[in-house]
Amino acid sequence: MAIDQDMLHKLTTEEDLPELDLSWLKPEDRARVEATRLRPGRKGLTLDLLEAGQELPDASDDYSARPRGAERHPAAARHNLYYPLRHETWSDNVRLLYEEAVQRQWSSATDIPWHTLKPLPDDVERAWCQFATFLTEVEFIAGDTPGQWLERINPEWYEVKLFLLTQIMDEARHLDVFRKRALANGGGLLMESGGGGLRIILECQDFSEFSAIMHVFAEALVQTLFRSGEALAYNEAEKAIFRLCAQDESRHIAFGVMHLKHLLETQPWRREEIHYYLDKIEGPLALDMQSGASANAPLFDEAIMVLAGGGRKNIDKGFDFLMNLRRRQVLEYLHRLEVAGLPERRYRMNPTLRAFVET
Amino acid sequence: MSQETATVRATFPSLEWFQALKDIVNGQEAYRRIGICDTTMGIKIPDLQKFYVVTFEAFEVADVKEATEEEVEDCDFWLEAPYARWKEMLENIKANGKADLHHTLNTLDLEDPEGFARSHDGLRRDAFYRFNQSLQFFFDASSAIDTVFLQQGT
Amino acid sequence: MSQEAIEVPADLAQVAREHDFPLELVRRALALGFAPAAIRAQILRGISPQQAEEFISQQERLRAGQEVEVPEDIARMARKRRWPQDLVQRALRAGLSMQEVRAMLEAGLRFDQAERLVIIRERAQQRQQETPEQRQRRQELAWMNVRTEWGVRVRPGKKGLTLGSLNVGSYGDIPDYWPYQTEMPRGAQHNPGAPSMGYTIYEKAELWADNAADLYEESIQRQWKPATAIPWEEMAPLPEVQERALAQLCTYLCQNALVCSDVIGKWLKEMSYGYHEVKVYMATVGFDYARHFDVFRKRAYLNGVGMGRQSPGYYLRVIKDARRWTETSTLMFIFNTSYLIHLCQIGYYTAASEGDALIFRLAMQDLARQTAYGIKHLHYFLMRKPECREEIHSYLQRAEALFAYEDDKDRTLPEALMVLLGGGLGQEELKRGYALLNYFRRRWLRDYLARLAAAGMPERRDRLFPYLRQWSPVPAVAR
Repeated sequence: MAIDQDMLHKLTTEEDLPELDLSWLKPEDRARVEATRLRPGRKGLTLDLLEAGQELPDASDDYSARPRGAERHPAAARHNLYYPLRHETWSDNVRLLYEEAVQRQWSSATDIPWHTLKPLPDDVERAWCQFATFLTEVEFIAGDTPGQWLERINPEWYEVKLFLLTQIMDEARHLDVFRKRALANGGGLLMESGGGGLRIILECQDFSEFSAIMHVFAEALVQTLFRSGEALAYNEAEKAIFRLCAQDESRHIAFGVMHLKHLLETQPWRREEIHYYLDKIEGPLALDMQSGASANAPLFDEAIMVLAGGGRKNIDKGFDFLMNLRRRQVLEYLHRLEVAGLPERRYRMNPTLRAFVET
Repeated sequence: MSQETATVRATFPSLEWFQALKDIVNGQEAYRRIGICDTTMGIKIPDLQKFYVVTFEAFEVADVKEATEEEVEDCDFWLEAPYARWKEMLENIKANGKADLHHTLNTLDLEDPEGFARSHDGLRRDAFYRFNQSLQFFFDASSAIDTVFLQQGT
Repeated sequence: MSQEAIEVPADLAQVAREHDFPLELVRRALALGFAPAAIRAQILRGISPQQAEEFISQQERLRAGQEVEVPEDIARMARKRRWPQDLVQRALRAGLSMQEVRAMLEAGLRFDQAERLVIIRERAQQRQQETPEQRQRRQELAWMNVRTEWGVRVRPGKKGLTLGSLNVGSYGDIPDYWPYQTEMPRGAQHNPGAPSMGYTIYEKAELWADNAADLYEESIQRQWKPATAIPWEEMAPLPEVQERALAQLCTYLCQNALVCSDVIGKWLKEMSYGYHEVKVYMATVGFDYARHFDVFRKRAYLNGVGMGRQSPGYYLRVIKDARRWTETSTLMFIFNTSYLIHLCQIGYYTAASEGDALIFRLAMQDLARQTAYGIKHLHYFLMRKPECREEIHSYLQRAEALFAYEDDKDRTLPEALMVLLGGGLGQEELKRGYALLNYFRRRWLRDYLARLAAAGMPERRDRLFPYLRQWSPVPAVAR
């Protein structure tokens, strides 16, 4: 079988062959062919294998949409005013994290054993629904925020763009899975949180500010919560939700920590600036954390207390869980900052957070 | 895709042949792993005036049935070719265990100016592309059938 | 109540015994109102009986109305941090130890921050002392009384528990106008104190497509992995010229994917949360573009060629420059995606290996979901805003015109396609390649116009930009 020859002949004779340029063939580079053939490794053909030995520039004055390695078009249109330096968005583990994200995708529709959801006492079900309502909100913001940085990142360092796209995908699944949990067991969505502390992530004016606030601080808190999910889960479905979401969050944190490390190593003069961003996020979010036990914005924390306590009658037991959780969250956050090269944060942290680890 | 040894003998085209194919596909985990496939596909062999409808739903082939030409044209899309071309495609699949590059659904579609996959609706026709891997799997699975072909003109 | 009358819960008593912790101290702590769980935690943390005695005695004195002597260094630090005079005593009465107060001061807690912590502890303390009625009232948490579709359970179906299946009862009520600027999920109860998130799209007609939720699930189910799904090892090099032509095609597809994913990222934050189905589907579109960039870049480098020449990017700017989501969606998901499918068809048709064919087949699958959204959205939009029909034509006109401009100015890609289709650089091969390119472009225009017809714009067939009419399925009659 083939395309009808008569018709092709008609097309061939009908059309005059235009004058060809063919300069894109670059015959002078012929020696490269075959010499650099790629071979997949144990993890398949990964970005690490693809880019091994390729030039990775530190700076770019190209504002077009040219992917790294492509020949420049002299008349290419500018597309954006990107960050001109690699250090401003780069993370040394970004290729690995991208590939891991692609390999470890999951489906909230079919990978969660929803059939294990069984009716819970009303107060516990409502607490789960309040908890899930809040997390759906959180993941909305988490999905919107990386997107706004995509067009600021030069295609020269496309790996960061690709990673952020996996993050947006992850966050979509998270908001989706918590919505599903709220609606799958006879409860429903409850009260919108009023704090708005997360808006600070949308307000970032710099990529490193965004990454420090979102990846290193906010997602780290959420990841610790998910990893503590055994105490909040009442069935295998909820355990699976926590486990799978925590995996995804871990990648986002890993990107953020290594970006911060890279930034501090290559632009050490930005250290104080990073402290300012952390001061900013620790302030409002720390207050949210505290107010959870006050009467002002209790939704999320009270829901955790009810879940951890096994019902509202045991809310005090849940309070202990919450306080221990906060302590773990702060300790893990500090540990990550140490890895990133910011150990002094322990002594400069918002005192309200510091109190969790020092009292 | 590796196929099990041929155990079913059926004539193409016939409802039995499509039913056998449905059963083979539904028994294969590899088909499920491709992902959801939701579409209705018509089969049109104009020179035999034979028409079938195959319904794909979620992770399985939900239904096959003999149909009228109108029913086929009411599908998301239909595959239309003279019997000889169908026969050539299925013989190629049988010989190779799956379609070679010259006999895949896509190639057959691209080589036909009118298209092998046709539809009255520009949106619904795109199901042919959207679920192409599943559709190819479906026909490739026919290598497990001991297909009997009609003599040309019968 | 005497301390002897206080019953120590069995599990707490056991922990105390296991840690050689006197039960008498446990009883005194319970009498002071400390929660069993808190006492247990302290024992487990290793508090010594001596430390406990010191702390409990201090608490007993405070409860008896006495003040505790504050060490001078703590008093000095408290003054320095502008803590009110009685805050240290309050903190101690609330159950904090002197060491904890010292740590708070050393940590630099301002007076307001310290007071928050103290309030929390006071409330916890009050809870221990409240009557059953007070306790019951407190446990009636306000958010527990929010009205929901209580009792409606969504069961997984053949496709699992899908996003679309959640739209039952009032959750299925998707309003034409979303009134909230906050991060509230659809179906939750609005909190009047929540701040605006600054979205710009609040009208259903501006982004909705009935198939968005299904496309989201389909997309997740049909995702594939460039690193491992493609048989890279089996893809032998093509003759050099074709290998370079294929790399040039891949370069274009990479660039297109990067620009389109930027555009998705830009728009996500504009879409309000009343229409989350569209937002999450767009997340999958961005992910598809990421994988397309990935797979086409790998293919370009696989056999030693690498990226070819960049496209000047004039035409892609039209998508980037769009100011209305429906404009973006129509240009990106109907015009551009139709073009990308056309390029993938050429890639597929010229594939010399199963691997190459698979790459283009899988990419086409993803792209066809995009046309499904683009068509359904445009259809929905035009049904509700028929007065905008001419506006949409003007957007299409811009895209078609800019495509023509670039296609005419930069022949890199068309030449590469001719080489691929013709199979080489000989005159006959190029002639054949040119004929085949025109054949495929006719298919492209046919499919593009069919998609617009399905969206409710069949008249575009007669208004196609003149340059494109050379491949139009209808005669190129000047209008």
